Amino acid sequence: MKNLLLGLLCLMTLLNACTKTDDINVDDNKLGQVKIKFDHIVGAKKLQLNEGNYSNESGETFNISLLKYFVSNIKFTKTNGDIITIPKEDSYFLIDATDQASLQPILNIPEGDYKTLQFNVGVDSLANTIPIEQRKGVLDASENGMYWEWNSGYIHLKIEGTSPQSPNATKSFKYHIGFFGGYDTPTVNNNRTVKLDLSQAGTSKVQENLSSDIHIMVDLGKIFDGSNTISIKTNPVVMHSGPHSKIADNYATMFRHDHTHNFTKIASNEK
Amino acid sequence: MKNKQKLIVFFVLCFGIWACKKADDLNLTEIVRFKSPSYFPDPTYSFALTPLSQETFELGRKLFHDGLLSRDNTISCASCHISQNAFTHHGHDVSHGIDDQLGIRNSPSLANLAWSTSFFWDGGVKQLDLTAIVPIHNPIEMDERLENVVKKLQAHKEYPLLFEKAFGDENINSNNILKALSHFMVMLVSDNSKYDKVKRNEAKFTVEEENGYKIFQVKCNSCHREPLFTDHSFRDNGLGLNAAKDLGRNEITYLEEDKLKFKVPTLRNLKYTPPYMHDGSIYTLEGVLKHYQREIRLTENLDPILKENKGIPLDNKEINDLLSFLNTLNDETFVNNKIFTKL
Repeated sequence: MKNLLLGLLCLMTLLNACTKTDDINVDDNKLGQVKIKFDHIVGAKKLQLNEGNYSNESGETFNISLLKYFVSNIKFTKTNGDIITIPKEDSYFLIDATDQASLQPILNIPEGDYKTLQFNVGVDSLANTIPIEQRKGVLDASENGMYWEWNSGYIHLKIEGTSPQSPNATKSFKYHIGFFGGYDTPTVNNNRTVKLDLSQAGTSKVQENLSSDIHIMVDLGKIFDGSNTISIKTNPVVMHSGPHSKIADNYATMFRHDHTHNFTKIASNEK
Repeated sequence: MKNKQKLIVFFVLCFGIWACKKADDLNLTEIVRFKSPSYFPDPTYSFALTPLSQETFELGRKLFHDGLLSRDNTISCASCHISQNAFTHHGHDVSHGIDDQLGIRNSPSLANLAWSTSFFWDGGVKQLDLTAIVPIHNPIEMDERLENVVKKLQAHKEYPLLFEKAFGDENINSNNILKALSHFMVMLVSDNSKYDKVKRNEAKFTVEEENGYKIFQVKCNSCHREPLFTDHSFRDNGLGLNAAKDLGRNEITYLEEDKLKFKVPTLRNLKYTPPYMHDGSIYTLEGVLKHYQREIRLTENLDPILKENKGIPLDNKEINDLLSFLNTLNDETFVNNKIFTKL
């Protein structure tokens, strides 16, 4: 009898404990951390700047020596449909393959379960027209090499490397993709919106004092073999002319949500 | 009685302080107050976020004349924008920059930039504050990086203090460099030509000038709109494709309809700014008028007004009168203004 009672008590505690973890108190007024981790790959290989040897569907081999791109205007959608938009001034990130810290932007958003993550690849037209007093941090036009001076505008994405198939003397390829739509004369806009469904590979659960780490695989091979096929031999350099919009269509497809680590401890240096 | 004396002394002292202050203010306002002439449109440049001051202007002036802004410290802004030539590079069709490399366009006059809606012959930059970075970074002009200019200025014996005075921060950053340069450039206001004096009822045109003005209003003003003598638009004026294959505005917008279009330049200070056109291909004003009179090419995007009239119909008397009028747009005060060159 005593044993039965103890067993029952144990069971109850266990049940209680179970429900406890499932039923997290979500408080909209509390903020929790989200870390978006961009893991760069080319096909199935991890990106190793300068070292890695990769290939594309055009049968060309190449390496990558430089990779930088802007991620901006980040938005999250909760499972209940609520949309959380990161304030404009906190919403510009420069992802630089040589800078480890830049690969995982950290944001603080209200507690809750998030099913989609949306962001823009590039710098939108609004930020391309703001006064210099507001062009701070990654938007400083004179730094990062991500701004075209003479045809004023940010470079959304820059990728450079070498390939034996490149017709250039230096065997290089360089894709600098810009254009934001123009100030008053409408021009091409190579900003691209990326919307990732998180529900399949792991809804992001945001809790105060904890971090939800959203891992995104960024397949740079898609820059050559996305919705369009881009060959280094045909297009070793794409900046102001050539298939820049096709490359933009391609970089819109290179992001894939891999998994999410919820309720991770926040490292002391990230607080 | 004693109190009364004290009171008088007090008042005298007050007046003294007030008088001193007044004199200082007067001095300041005379030099750096930005004035928009009553007959000019509203300026496009704004001081709302960073107010103009004596210090920002003087810092900009010093930077404008300093070769430190170039890779090998030899080329300053003033190398190709000389004050006596209304801030152009007199006598050069195209300017030579660092290592004597040649560009493909004629260095434009820097006057009345506070009213400009875009910069450079192709309008590739829309904010004055983002203009100076172009020649600084251009490999054939100054071939330097602003990040590096910051380092050079920070290590300089005078600049950190000057930036502290101008912006309250001795830690120099590139935006403050650009801002100071802008504050110098917006002050380059040309509004004291004979034309301006006539506008202000301080002078009268001669008969030839008056005739020229009337011809101007009918045949030139649609593009070179007074009082700035540009409507800030981009037009193909029938020069045709030059040896540099410069497509102008098209190289910014990539639109077919923008091929061979260039910014309509001001007609102020022409006396000091030859040669003319975006490539400096016409050496005299007579040559420019002759171009419009009978040498235009019927290019695809030729300006409709020029297409319709096959140029600008002008007889020789009209040309003489026009030249008389254009001569009234030369602003001697502007090109001799010591405030722009004092270092």
